[in-house]
Amino acid sequence: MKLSDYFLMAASNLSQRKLRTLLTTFAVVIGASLISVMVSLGTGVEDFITKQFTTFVPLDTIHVAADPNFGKFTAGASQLGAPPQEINGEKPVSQSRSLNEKDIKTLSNLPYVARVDEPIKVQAKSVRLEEDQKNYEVQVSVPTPYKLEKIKLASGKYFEEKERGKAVIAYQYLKVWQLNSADEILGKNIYIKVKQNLGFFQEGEEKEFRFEITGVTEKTLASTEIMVTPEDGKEMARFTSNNPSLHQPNQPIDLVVVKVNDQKEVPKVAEKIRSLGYGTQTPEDMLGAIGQIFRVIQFILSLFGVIALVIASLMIINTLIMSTYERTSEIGLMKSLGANINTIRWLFIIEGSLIGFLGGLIGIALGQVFSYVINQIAHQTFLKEFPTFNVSTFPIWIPLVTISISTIIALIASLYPANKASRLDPIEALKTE
Amino acid sequence: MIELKNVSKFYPMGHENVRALNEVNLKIEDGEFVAVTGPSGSGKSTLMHIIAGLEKPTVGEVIVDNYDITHGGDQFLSKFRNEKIGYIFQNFHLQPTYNCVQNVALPLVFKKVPRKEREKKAKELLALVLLTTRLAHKPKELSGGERQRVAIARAIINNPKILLADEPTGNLDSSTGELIVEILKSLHKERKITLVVATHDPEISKHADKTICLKDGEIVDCKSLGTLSKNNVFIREGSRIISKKI
Ligand SMILES: Nc1ncnc2c1ncn2[C@@H]1O[C@H](COP(=O)(O)OP(=O)(O)O)[C@@H](O)[C@H]1O
Ligand SMILES: [Mg+2]
Repeated sequence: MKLSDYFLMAASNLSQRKLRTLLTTFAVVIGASLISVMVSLGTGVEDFITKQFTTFVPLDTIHVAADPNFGKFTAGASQLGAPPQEINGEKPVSQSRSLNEKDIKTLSNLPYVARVDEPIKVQAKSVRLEEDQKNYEVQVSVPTPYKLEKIKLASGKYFEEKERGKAVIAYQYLKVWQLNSADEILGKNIYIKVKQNLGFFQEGEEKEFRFEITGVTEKTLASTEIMVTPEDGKEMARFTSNNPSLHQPNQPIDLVVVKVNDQKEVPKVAEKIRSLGYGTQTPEDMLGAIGQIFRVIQFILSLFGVIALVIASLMIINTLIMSTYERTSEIGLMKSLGANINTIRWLFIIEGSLIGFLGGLIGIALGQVFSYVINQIAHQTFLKEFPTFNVSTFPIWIPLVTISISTIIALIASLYPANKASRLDPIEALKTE
Repeated sequence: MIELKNVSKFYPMGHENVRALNEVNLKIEDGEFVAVTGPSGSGKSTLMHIIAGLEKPTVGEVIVDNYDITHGGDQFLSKFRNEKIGYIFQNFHLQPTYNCVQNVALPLVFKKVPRKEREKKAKELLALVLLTTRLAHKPKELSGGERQRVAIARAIINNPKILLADEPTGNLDSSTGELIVEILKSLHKERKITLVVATHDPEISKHADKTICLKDGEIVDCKSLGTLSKNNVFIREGSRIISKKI
């Protein structure tokens, strides 16, 4: 029998018994829509967290220090949420060795490594707009160019690496500076105040650095972040630490950020770097635990959908068994006219799978609607501040996986009835009317 | 050629066996028209099923068209039924949800013939059995005689070498039955089909090249069925068995 004939026959059989097909399909629809909504909720929230996380730490970077224990015992460095690790003997004390130019060269020459940068840390006191007297809190970050690609801008553009006196500010500043649109702030000047840190007993000097705003980031959780041009960042760091040689060539370096060409290669590159005696910390190390928690939540949520699908599969079994009873004489006839065991078997399997596929399709559509409604509600309530983020996302793999699951479950459910039907004795079957 | 060698068929019934066929030996040559008669329950249908490969004999060997169908598996037997055998049932066995064309074309579906082609063939055959005006009708919109003509068209759509008809007129009134017999006869003549008809109807056996008489599952001399006349056969009417002179 041709494949098209199988489908035509199965579809015609299903449409002969509309009400029963409808009810059975409905059960599949419930299961499929539950699964798709639950999974999309899970991925949406995970996506949200990950995106927020990657605004701080890009996923294609590895932090490297000379101390081989870096990333293992230092604060917040081991996996978030992981149980405390046992310490054999002495707690390792951070070695005082620093990285030097030679280390950077070694790291730069490793395969897949795109570039190696020294992170620049700036402790700033406050920020103010030129025409405004009020000071606001600020988190100054000095992005290496790779980080710039990761955060979208609501308005304006990023500065170039070699430029001076340029800044990109967080969206939330617009509110405090009472600007309605991001475009209005472009080109304005801000002053970032930093203070020398001379220890407990000596009061340090204060100094303001002027920056021209070139861009505004989209709304993220990093609501007080201002990114400044690297050379200015270095200058600010030298001032606050009162260390004129900081970030100058041939000076010892505590920590470098290694950017990897291909995000997939991060674990391998980190492994390689560790084998050279350095300590590493990858975003995976930090994100790993979060991801795991979300996968568990997702799994539990989807379990409801799976239970619904199992019930649906019982209904499919029932529908098909009733169908074999009703169609006993038809099956006998088909056999007497040349249908073999496999023909009959496939006919029933395709009929069952079709129910699963249809149910999955409708379930997905329904899931999309649910997902949309959930997002709308979220945006009007707790996600009001984050218009670009969705609680429930619908990446293409969710419909594909859901339809596959519902079809496969339906297929499995139809195996028994299909086998039963295919084994009918044609003569006995023909005698039934 | 159809050859049965020492064929017996038993059905287990409680502790005993029902002997539907008992040590049957027979040969039917290609192109022959054979009538199988005998009282109800004598094993006619069982014989037809065994020749068609729908049932296997308990004992014995069945050779049809040089194929040993006693030992064939499902794949072989279904192909055999599809291509070598045309089978006509007493109660037509049409698919109620299909129209005439679809019913006639059904055997070609299992042979993977494309839809256009098989429906063209089905229409030709429906024309042959004078049903050109009924192509899109469902079986329940047809009379008994028309249904049996659809069934005949279906049986010959694969150009089978052998046409088996199990009481093809049994559910029809005599004048309708006559047309069916005419069609079967002409198919036998014009297409050189081997025709085996199980029947109570003396009208049919009259036209046959030879008549096989069954009684209690055994082939018997037709004369022994009650009368010395070759033209006399036993037939059953309701619960009575009566002898009818042809
Ligand atoms: N499936 C079956 N189980 C038990 N007995 C059967 C079965 N099929 C046929 N028989 C018996 O076998 C005998 C022959 O039946 P059948 O071939 O149908 O006779 P006919 O067609 O000549 O009326 C009858 O006694 C019938 O009751
Ligand atoms: Mg019979």
